[in-house]
Amino acid sequence: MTRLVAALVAVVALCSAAGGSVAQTSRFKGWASISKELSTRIAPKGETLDLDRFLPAEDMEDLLGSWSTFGSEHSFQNGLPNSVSIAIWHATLSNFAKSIGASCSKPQFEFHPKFAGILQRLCTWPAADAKSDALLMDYWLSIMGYNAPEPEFAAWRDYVLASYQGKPAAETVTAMTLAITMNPYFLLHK
Amino acid sequence: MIPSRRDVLRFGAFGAGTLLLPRASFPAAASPDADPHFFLLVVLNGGADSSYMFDARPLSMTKAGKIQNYLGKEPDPWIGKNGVRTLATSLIKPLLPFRDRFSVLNGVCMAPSFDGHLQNMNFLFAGKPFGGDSFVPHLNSSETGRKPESLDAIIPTDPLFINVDNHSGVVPLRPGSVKALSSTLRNVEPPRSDDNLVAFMRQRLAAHAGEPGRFSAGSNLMLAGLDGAQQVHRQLASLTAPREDLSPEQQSLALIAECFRLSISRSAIYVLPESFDVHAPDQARAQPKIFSDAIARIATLFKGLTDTPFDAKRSLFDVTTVMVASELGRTMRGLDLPIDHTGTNHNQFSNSILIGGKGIRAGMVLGASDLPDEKATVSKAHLALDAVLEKAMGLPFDFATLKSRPDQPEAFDIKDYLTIGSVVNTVYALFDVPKANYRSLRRDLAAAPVLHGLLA
Repeated sequence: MTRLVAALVAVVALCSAAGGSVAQTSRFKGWASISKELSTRIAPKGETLDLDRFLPAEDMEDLLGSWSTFGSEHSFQNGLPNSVSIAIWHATLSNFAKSIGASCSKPQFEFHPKFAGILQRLCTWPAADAKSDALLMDYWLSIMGYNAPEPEFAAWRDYVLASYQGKPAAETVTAMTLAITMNPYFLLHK
Repeated sequence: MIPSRRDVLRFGAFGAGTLLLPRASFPAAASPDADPHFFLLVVLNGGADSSYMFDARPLSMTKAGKIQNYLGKEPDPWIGKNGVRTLATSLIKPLLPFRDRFSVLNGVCMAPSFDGHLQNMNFLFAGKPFGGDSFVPHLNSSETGRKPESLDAIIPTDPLFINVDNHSGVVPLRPGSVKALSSTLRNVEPPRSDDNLVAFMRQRLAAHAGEPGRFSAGSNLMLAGLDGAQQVHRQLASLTAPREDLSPEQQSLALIAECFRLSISRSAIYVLPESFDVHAPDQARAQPKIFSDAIARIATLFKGLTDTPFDAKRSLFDVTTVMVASELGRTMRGLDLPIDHTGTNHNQFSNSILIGGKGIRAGMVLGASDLPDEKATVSKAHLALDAVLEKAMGLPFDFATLKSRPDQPEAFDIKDYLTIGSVVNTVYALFDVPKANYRSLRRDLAAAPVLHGLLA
């Protein structure tokens, strides 16, 4: 019995050690995956929103994490967040968010009709209608999808309402968009 | 090991003295480190056949059907300053100007068991077949007593496929990416810690970072990354792209030099584009060209390290320890194939490594593999692991004299052999990595001996 307990303790200890490995850490979804998610959510049907337009450098897939194959082994390489990848995501998504914000006055690229409608209403900020819970939820879901739990939306909504209450639409939409896209629920595999 | 928040924060812990000066003149170093020390690992991917470089065999051995040789030239003696002799092919000629810059390690046992590419690449980096902690980040640990550089390493070439747990600070940064990347970053505000929106992002990350689970661990890394990103953003924005008229090796070296000078990176991993995996006869037949191209690249890198000033007094070679390694050696031939039409398979029992630069006694030859000619006999230890004598194997090694031993052990005991663990531990000793990180010879054995005689 003592041996059995000792063996169980050892197994539990090994499991906790394994739990501490990086294999148990969420990694970035990667350049291609984020590009695809944004395309599906905001671009016209069948069209691609290429993130390269916001940071036109080569090899971003490798820098920010991509699937790689060696023989029969498939593995997501270089997807662990670090200060370089955060700096690059922040720069890329800042440019993306600025494009969305600037689209309040002149569309910077083609949008899915549903998203265009939501954005058009949001661009009336700081009008009361733009601050409605329903519209903010629509915008949140348009970018985030159903990746995040509702309290995450609530935190974002409260922040936007408190910090951008009387700010211009373009600035507000830019900040809203960057805040959603830099959220871990948007960038990380869960 | 989960990289701690502190580990990632240190990526941003540079800044002082990082003035970017024009590349063309390779100006004085900006590093504030009084004793700068960097590491360059050149990887021959696919398992390179040592017999095409510094562990060659006489043609009589090919005539006897023991080992393929598609070069068809008698190798020349290569005698180290320590009196140890090996044979080198004519292909290594481009490295002759640098023979006093590096030492040759022959007969290095990469693993006592596995002979697969991925497993042995994992052995090279992590000392284990299925992955673990890579040795490269340890060279940049604050435990070495040095201020960590922003990144553990850059990879200016195609990245490697390996399973290691601690490469979040090893970044595939290629010369071709730098121009557009730095230009974009120059035009975007970095994530400033005093910015209200950044504070909100930070708050959301912190809200998830403290809990158990994968997502929280990722959020924790993102949080640490965000805290360091402001300085890294500025640093990357200040990089200048290497001149496009330079060769790929020169461009990579220019980027490496800038990253070293600017305290961006402690190490660089340069993966040669040649594939050394030559199982098929036609692939093996191409080895003279494959090695000729690869050695020319290595010579270009060595020349660049020699010619590139790190500061007013030192070249890049003076401040960089350089290691050239493959994950495997190769068998002498394929079984049941004619000797003039055979490929080769993997050999984990004997590999060659070149090591030089800062802290290394250069010009020596350490270790040797068995089966040096067609008449040689092997130990029972060899026969136990390779009964058909398909593979050359490292000879037993005397760690005190750094010479091979003449005895033929009855049974395999890893303590008798020069292993990759010893090579890595020697690099660890050079960088003052704490002994707790040293690789052991086996789970139940002590650390692999450091090659003290190889240290300058």
